[in-house]
Amino acid sequence: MSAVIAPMPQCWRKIGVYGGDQSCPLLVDEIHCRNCAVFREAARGLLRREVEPLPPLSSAFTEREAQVSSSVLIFRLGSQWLGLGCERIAEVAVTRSPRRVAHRVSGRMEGLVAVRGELHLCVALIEVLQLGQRSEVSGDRSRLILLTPPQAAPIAFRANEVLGLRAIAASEIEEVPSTLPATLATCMAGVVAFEQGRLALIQEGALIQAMEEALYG
Amino acid sequence: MSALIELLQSEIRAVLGQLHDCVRQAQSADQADEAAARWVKRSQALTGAMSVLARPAFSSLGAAMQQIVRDGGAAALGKSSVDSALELIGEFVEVPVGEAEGWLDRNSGRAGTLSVQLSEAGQQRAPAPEVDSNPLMGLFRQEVENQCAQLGQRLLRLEQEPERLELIAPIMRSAHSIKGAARAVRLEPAVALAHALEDRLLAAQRSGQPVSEALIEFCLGVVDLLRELARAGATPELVARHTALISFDERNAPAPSAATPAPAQPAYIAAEDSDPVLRIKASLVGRLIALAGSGVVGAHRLRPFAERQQRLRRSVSQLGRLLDDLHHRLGAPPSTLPVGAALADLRRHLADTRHQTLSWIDEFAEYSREAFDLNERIYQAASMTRLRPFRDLVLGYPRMVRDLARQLGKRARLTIVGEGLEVDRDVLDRLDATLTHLLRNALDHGIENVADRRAAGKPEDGQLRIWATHRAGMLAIDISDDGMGIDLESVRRRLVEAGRVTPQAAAVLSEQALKEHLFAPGFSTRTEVTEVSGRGVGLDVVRESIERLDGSVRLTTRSGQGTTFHLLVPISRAVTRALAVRIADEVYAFPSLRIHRVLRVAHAQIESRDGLQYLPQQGRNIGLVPLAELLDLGHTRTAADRVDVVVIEHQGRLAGFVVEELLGEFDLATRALDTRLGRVSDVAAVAMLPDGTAVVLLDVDDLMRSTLSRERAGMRKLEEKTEQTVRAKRVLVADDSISVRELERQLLASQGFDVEVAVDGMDAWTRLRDEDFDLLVTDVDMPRMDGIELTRSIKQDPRLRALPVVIVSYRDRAEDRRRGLEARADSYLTKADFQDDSFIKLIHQLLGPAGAGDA
Repeated sequence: MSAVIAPMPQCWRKIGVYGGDQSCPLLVDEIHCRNCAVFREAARGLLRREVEPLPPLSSAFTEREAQVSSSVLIFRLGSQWLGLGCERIAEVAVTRSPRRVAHRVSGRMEGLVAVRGELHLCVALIEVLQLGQRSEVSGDRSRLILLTPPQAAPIAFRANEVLGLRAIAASEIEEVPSTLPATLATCMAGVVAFEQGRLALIQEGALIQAMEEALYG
Repeated sequence: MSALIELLQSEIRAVLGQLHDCVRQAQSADQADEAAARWVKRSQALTGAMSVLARPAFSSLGAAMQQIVRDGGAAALGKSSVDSALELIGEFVEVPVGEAEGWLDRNSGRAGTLSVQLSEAGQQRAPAPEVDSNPLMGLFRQEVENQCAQLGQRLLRLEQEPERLELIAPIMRSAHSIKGAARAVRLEPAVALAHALEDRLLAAQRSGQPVSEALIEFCLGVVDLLRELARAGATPELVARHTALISFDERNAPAPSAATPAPAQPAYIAAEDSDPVLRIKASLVGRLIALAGSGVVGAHRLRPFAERQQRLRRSVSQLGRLLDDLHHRLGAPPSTLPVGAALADLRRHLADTRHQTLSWIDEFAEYSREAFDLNERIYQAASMTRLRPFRDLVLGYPRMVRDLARQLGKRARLTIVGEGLEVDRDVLDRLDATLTHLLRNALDHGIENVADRRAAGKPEDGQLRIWATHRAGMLAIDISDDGMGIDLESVRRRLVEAGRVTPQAAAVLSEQALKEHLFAPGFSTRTEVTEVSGRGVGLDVVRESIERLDGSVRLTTRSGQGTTFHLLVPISRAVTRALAVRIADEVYAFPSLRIHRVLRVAHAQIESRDGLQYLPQQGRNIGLVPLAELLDLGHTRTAADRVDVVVIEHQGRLAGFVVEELLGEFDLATRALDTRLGRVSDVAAVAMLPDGTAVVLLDVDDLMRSTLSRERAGMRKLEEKTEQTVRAKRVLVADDSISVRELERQLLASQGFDVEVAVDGMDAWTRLRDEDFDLLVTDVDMPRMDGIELTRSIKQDPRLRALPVVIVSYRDRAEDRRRGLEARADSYLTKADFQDDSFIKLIHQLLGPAGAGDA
């Protein structure tokens, strides 16, 4: 089997079907990356990877803090890339357009979305964060993200695109620039260099609060 | 009792506000002692009020609330059990009067547990410290609850047939189980009681004599006390009663044959429960049902795949024909030639492919059928977790009927048919108050006393019957009595006497119309107030609570022969039969039970007058309402050749709602709209269609109210042209701060509203009930009754619930807002919102201009 494994890491993103150019020769037989042994092995490797050992109790925590990294989900609203910690993310689902609720058609609450047999409230986060209009969030790549506030049912929002998870080290995080829209700035923990621009790192507590407020208004 | 309950509720409500204040005050160090002192006084008043309820568990809760602060000082007010106690009492004051008795019965257990917790939290030497700290106690309580319910039923049966001694064995079995369980939690008084029960029954069984009434009375007493012991633990009061009961028995016991020692393991002990009951979180069950439902939706989506496969099969066949054609055109070359060989090869390949495709299609069809069947079954089974047998509801009724009849100096017996029917637990819970109410009515107003019955040639025991059946997917419950019936002529007389109808009009009222009047608010055939069914017969309350379940109630009665109430309610509140319609490109639904009729008419049939549209139909004009406009969804676009109209009848009025398209009838698994949206008028619930489309179920009562006010607004506009004086809209402002109150008053008055003020929640509540207002603006933090509570009371009050409520508070955190909207306020503003005109905008949005319309 080792003979099949391509030398390229994350080949599915580059020459495969997951955002790649689909030039991989293996695709002729495999049709989709998920059928391919390379992909399968990579997944196995991820599950079997060594867990980073806990720091010894005696070590200086302040030094380590700079190296501590956390996983964030990267998604796009309008033209802005954002990163959000995973703890309150309940689900990322394929988008269906929300249906409106009588009398509540003018606010930032878009309506109800159905996910796996359950109905959830959906908020136009792109408008809450002043990053654009809800009509801009559409297309095949758009996804529905469900966040769970403490002790309450999840609230959904639509993102233009979800890229996946990425680990971000505390040392990478820079301060919030003053040029951002006010609501976005209050929800941010910092910015991180990302692709050609910057990724806005979101503080989940503030974000959830802003979303809950949008439900009422 | 109901008049009394109402008084008590308002009294307790007032005290409750003060108690909450004490808790708040206790947090600041310099006021803590004062708060503690006030707490003791106030909770004393509370105990006094609650002792009137005749529920020992609630009186001891009051006592425990006093004691905890006497012992622990102000610090004790920070305990979570104190909060829970206030919460429980807070719930009680919100219970509608008609349901209060049932609520008290159901929550005595909670009150008992809380008083034990309070005693423990106060580090007071608890009478039975192992109670509740023992993890078994909860299980024990449940077991006793179950066993006692069965015991009560079996004892009543024995009372009716005292000579059937074989009925004793199962009773002893229950007593024995309780004894074992009580021993496990070391609740000695309960062990002794269960033991005494067993002893006495054993003696009765051996005597061979019919069981005496005194013994049944004793046994029922023991059952009651066991229940209370399980709920409240061994409080001194209960221990004293236990001692009294046991010694009472001994004094009256005949020569004790019970001296013979019972065998170590009596023969009647057998494992009875082969299907144990689990306790599962309701939210988990809800999730399970939702997931199972989406499994069914998923399985439905396999069908298009199967259809696509059929297309594939057809195109393969087509290929075969084309190939045959080609073979023929080439002059059918033999396979010895290269072309012939290639063609033969091709045909063989195609035959293989065709064969394989067919078998795969079969396999897939088989699989999708199985998947569909399985998912359907999973959904059915998941939905069953919400069902409970009808028995669970009615178990205590025979006993209640017996006791009530005695209290009234009558004799009555209740039979129940259809105990095994499975009904949604929500529906069962909501039926309790109504059934109890109707049974009480039957006993109080229907069943005659023994002498009268004898004179009328009826058996001395009055007969009551609850007959439950499934009828066309609904639960039908008939509650009958063989009493004196309702004399419709006297109803006619009383209508005239009460000035409700002129004598001429009364004379021509049909039987149906007279019955209808019985269900009208405030109507009574009886003048005196009785302990059992309070003032009046309260059939308006019955009708209202049944209609709130989307059910119906009617009655048949024959003078001198009895009365039957026929209730028809859905088996499940979770599933509503509804007509789905399209409005502004989205799907809404009307509950089928509330639809009068559905019409499809031509545009030409619609008449227009004074800017309003009508549809003449069988001599009546049905006012038409474009639904999209009513729901703020824009413009209703009807088809070019026809108009679809859903006609609703509500209290004798007809209204036709114009929709864009009728989609058909569905069984909808409904769920409540997320409470964080606050109250959304005209919306009853949300649901999903089989294909996964979200549906909003409309609240028909709300729709009719909105329609009415819309029509009035239209009329008023016309009147305005001729008349200058229009009643200004009345707004009530409740705030304990005089400056805020004044600010709001001036703001609103400047907009032309007629503004009244209330100094706190209690004041506002009283005024709202006495006067007519169009809107309430309230603060949250107020003495006596806070704004949240006020809002909740309004939204639960059948007459006030349509009143728009705007909460204005300094509290601007998300959870404060959530609390307000969960109480069903229409909007929540912070006082900061006064700076711009969002307050005034909102008021206009809710009420329209100050002079026109009527909310």
